[in-house]
Parts: sequence; structure tokens; C-alpha cells
Amino acid sequence: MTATDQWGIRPEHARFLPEWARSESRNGEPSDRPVPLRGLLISAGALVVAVLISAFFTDSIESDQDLVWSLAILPALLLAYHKGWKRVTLALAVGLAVLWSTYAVGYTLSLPVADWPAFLPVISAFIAISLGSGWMSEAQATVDELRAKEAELLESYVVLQASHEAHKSAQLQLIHVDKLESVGLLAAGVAHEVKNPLMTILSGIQYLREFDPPEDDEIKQLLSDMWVAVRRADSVIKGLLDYARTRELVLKEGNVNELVDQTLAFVKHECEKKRINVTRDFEGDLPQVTMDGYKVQQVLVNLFTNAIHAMSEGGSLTVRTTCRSVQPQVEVLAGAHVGQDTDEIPSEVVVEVEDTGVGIPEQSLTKIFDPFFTTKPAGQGTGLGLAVSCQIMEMLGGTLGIQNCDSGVCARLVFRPQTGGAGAWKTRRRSSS
Amino acid sequence: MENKKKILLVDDEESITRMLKLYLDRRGGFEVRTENRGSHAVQVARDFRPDLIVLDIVMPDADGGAIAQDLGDDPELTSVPIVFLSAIIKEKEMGGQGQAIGGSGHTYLAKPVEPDVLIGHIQERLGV
Repeated sequence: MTATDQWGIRPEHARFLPEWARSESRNGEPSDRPVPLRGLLISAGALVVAVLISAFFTDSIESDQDLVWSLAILPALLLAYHKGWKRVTLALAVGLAVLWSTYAVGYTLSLPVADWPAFLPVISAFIAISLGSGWMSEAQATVDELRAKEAELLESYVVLQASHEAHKSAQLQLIHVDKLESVGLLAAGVAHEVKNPLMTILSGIQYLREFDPPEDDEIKQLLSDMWVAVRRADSVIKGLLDYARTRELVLKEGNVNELVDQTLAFVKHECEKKRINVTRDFEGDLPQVTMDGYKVQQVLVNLFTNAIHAMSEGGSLTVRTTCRSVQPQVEVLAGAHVGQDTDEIPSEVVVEVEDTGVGIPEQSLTKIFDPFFTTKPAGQGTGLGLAVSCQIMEMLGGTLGIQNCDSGVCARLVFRPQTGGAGAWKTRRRSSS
Repeated sequence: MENKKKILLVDDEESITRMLKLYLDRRGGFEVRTENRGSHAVQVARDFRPDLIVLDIVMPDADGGAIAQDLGDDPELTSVPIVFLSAIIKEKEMGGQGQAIGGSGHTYLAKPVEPDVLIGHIQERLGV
């Protein structure tokens, strides 16, 4: 839609209008001049010019030559058109059309056209146009007003929609947190009730192995299976405890690159064993991030482990860290005021973990953060890793996103600045972003 | 006569204390007493005078932390090392918990712990 002022005149054209005809006065305040009057004034101006020209033609030159001479008005018409004087152009165009058609009709019907004052039809036309122009201006103003209101409505709609989405997301998050809290409560109880029997079984297995070692290979295998089963059950309980524990954070400023490096060292051996090539693509000057290093490491281990499991035949694991500026409108919607009183803009640190593995089946993508959901073979995963990781990132005010990419799976951790609190981290200078 | 180290096992789970006692007895070198009622733990310790106490943290009738506090307040028992066992706290989290319990220098192990790992810690604490 072309931008026009409240009178329907484009801003680039408005500067050609005399000051009294502009919709805004010099100080930028809207003029209180009524629209019809302005239309009349413009039309009257054009009328005076046209009448003078017509009168000049009528008095000095043969009347039947008026038609030809009236072509002299054409440059004025073109000039007005070029300057964007919409209503002047309209007035001149209609005036000329009426003039010419009058002569055309007059000559066709053999009327005594030559005896008529040439400006009569022009005057009639201009009176009509003057009135019409006023009404048109008014109508145009109404249309413009409606358009402005429509734009305003549209803008409000967009803001409302964004707000609605934010509320919906917050509501879902609340439900999620509620669900997590229930699991957390359950976890402590289950841990106590299950770990004690596990300890008895584990002690029993070790007692038998050490003091009454079986000679039968089948019994040996049986004890070994029992041992693995106890460890597996224990890992589920540990996962549940992690799930319950994510609400307790120990926040400290730290460097994400260093943390990622330390965590990669944990899985180095596993990567070598599986012939997985690890690529580090780190941005050098990341800002310090307020986080719980131990828990973020837990998240990274989960992501690395998933990637390694997805690449049983080898592949490559790429870990990328970047820092990017936070989109201002997101902050506005969230009601936060950032970067207004300093020359610093908030930035978020992003860690991407990309593998070249088998990817996640499309139908599973919506469930990967659900507790106990796993695509791994029985015994290889508890189905709690991503659920715990997601909760940790939410607790840190960040996000964890996972999607299939061209090569395999791409997981993205976003650490956001915690605005308005003691936990807010340093932001980078505008000049360096 | 062999100078056996005295160990008191306090856990509300009878199967655990029985199994650990059996294991420690077979390993030899320890005189083991078990107690399944947390509320009796301090009194039993006063009578038994152990060289080390293996103490569960979450018990229905007493809290391992409170028991450790009482033992620490007793001049006769204050220097007795404690190995805590817990089913709901993980090893890495126990550093903080230890300070809350008030006794630094104690050992914290998460259940289920292999008996030989437990014995390793016991021997380390006893210097044997």
C-alpha cells in the first residue's frame, strides 16, 4: 500500500504544495484546515489560471482557434502531473476534456460555438470539479483514515497474536513444569525404595562371585546378567534423580567454549572407538555466561552420547559455538527493557551439536523430550537424557532445540541473558557484534 | 589375638546390613555389629565403641545427619569416622550435604555401592 498523508497526498509530493495546502505545517503538527476548503482552494487556483488563459484566447484570437490554442494548457497539465499535484492535474484534465468535448459536440451539431465565450463550459466544469474535489478530498480522507485504522488493527492483531503465542507457550511450560515436579516428587520416593533392594542384590552378587564362585558357565553368565540388570535399573533411578534435581541450580559465570572442550574430553575415547571425527568450530570471544557448569555439562554429555549412539558406523560430530545479538522485538514482547541506556546490546550464546547419524524418525520428533521416551535399543537409554537436558536449559532461562538436518541431527542450546537480575551476563559491545 | 577393627553398620534395611555383615565377616579383619533402628544408633555406638560407622542417611525413625551430629557431640565418639550411605543423594552432590550435616572429613557413598568399593573406603578411613 502506498503511504499517503491523511489527505491522500504522497509525502514526496507534499513538498511541492504551497504551505497552506500541506496537511502538515512546518513544525510537523497536522493542519486543522478543513479538507473541502483545501480542495476548493486548489481547484479555484487552477480555475483562475484556466479562465485567464481562455479569456485571453477568446478576446485575441478567432474563436474556432480556441480549441487548438487550448493545447497550450497541456504543458501546465503535464507539469502538474509531474509535480504530483493530483487535484490540479485532475482539474486541468477534466477542464480540457469538457472544453474539447463542448467544441466537438458544438461543431458536430452545427451550433454557433464560435459565438460562445470559450470559458463558459470551462467555468461550469471547474465549479463542478471544485465542489467534487472537496467531496473527493473528504472521501479520500475518510478512506485514508480507514486505511490507517486498518493498519493499526493489523498491527494490534500481530502484537496480540505474538502475545497469545507467548501465553500459550508459557501455559504449556507451566503444564510441563507441573509434570516435571510430579516426576521429581516421585523420583525421590522411587529412588529410596528401589536403590536399597538394588544394594542388597549387588552385595549378594558380589558375595557369590567372591566367596562361592560358580564353576558352571551358565551360572557365571546369570550372575553377570544380574549385575548388568542392577546397573541398568540404577541408571534409570539416577536419571530420575537428575530430573528431580534440576530445580536446584548453582549459578556461576563461565566460558561455554571451555566447558564444551572439557565435556568433549569425556567422550573422546568413545568417539575414537566408534571412528567418529570431532570438529570444533568455536567463536573466539564469547561473553561469559551465567550457568550451572555441572548441569550444562550433563546436558552436553547427553547430546554427545546421543550423537555417538546415532553413529555406530562412524561419522563426524561437529560442535559449533556462536554469539548472536538478541532480536529486540522479542525483548519488547517479553516486556523487558534492554540496551536502552547503554551502548551494549544483549547477546545470546548458541552451542550446536551436529552429527551425521541416522536422524530421528519424524513421528518421534514431538516425543523426544517426554520422560522415558527413547529410540535406542532396550538397555542403551533410559529415555530421560533429553527430558533432563531440556529441563536444565529451561531452568537456566535458555532453550534446547533438536531437529533433523541434512546430515543427521542438529541440537541447539541457546543461553539467553537473564535480564533484570543479578544473573545477567556481560553483553558484547555494539562495535564488535 | 588379632586386633579386629570394629565396624557399626546402621541401616533400616535388614537385608543390606545382613549382606554387608556377611561380606565383611568373610573378608575378615572386622568385628561387625548391625543396627536397623536409627534411633538406637547413638546408644549402640556408645556401647560398642566402633572404629568406624557406616551410616544410612534416610531412615524412617531417624535422620543420618542428626545421628552424625549426636555422635560428633559425644566426646568419646567425636573422632569416629563415618561412611554415609544414601539412596537419594548422588556422590557428586554429597559434598554440600556433608557440610550441612556438620562433619567434614566424612565419606559419602551412593547406593547401590559394590561391597568391595565400600571396603576400600573403610580401609582407607581406618588406615589399614
